[in-house]
Amino acid sequence: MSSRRRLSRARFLFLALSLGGGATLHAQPVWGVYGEVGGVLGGTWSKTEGAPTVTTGPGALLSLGAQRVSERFSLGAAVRLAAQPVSMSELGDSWSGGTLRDIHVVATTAWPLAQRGAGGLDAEAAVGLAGRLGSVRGEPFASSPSLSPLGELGLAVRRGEAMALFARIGILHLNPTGTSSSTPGAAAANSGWVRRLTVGLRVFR
Amino acid sequence: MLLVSAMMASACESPSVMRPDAAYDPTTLTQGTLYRWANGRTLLVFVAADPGSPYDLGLAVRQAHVRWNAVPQFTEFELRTTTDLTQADIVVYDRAVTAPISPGSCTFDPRSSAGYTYFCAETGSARAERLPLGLGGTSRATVVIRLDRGRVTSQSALNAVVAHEFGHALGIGAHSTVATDLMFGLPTVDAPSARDAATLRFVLGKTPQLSL
Repeated sequence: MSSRRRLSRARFLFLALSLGGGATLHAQPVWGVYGEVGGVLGGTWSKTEGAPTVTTGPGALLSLGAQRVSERFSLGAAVRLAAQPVSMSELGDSWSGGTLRDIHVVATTAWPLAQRGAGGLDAEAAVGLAGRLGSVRGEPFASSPSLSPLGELGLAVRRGEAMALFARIGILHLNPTGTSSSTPGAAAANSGWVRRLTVGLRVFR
Repeated sequence: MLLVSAMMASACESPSVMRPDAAYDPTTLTQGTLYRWANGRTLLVFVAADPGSPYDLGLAVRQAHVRWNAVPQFTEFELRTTTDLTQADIVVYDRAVTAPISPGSCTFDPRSSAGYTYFCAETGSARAERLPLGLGGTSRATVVIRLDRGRVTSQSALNAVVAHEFGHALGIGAHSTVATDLMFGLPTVDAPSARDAATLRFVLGKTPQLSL
């Protein structure tokens, strides 16, 4: 692409940013709310020799958020609920570990990467806390602190002004230290980060 | 962004949780044979109590379930009561009633003791034998716990004996030498100690020589 074409493209993008009435593109900052529904992909949460491999299966996510949208970026906050089945496997046996249910409270930001009409592509990031809801009897959830820090990066494809498809990868810190302290010969527990991939649909209002 | 990038890079390091070492050898009563149920099982327990007993065997069993169900580190088992004898994995009965399960190829110990736990290995197999029903027919039960209420003097004593026998039924084929452990030969407590819990957690992570 020549420098002239890049400049032309940049001007077009600026124009689109200025005129766009979409979720993340406003000349004057405005507040908006959105809801999300999506799927949480499974993954391995703990894999240690001498202990079961702990994995989560595909689950569901619901979210509500609010954001202050300007032409360059948006800032906001969101509350998310996620649920995933937990499974264990070891020595040829595999079994259910119940359901992992957690709530996330995150600060969010997004900025446009590309614009096409009222749609476009946004990059997103979030940081916050995840807390487990209800009882998960199996390690590493049962004895880890109920609040865990999390961070997320994602992309969202806006389809007009009312909806977007998003995909984001999050990492959540688990520190399974609880029950070991009461058990002689102690279960060694090491903290670590767990990845979590979420895809879904976002609807703006 | 740098922070998030650093977090992503460190995401390879996932949490890890190890099982504890056994606090005592769990195989001293089985001549070194380690036994247990397949992990992930819901273990159904049938109780045949003596209606004339001053002590509540059902209560003791339910309390033992609560105590032992708190032990699995990775949801390896759950004890639950059933009223269907044919579906039971473990049968608990009072010696004063007709045995709902026959010994199969085992021989029930005729001596009197507050509690016994039985299972038999199938001939030429690493599995426990399914014991026949007392009135004929087959069951899926492989473990029998026999209580003798004449040997206990209180509900709390019965609770301790029943909880102790469930420790055997779950995979602890040993007696602890520490008096404060539930698996001490003459138990005075009705809940597994940290040492008992560590020992069972250790067993649950080992390949059994005999599967119940």
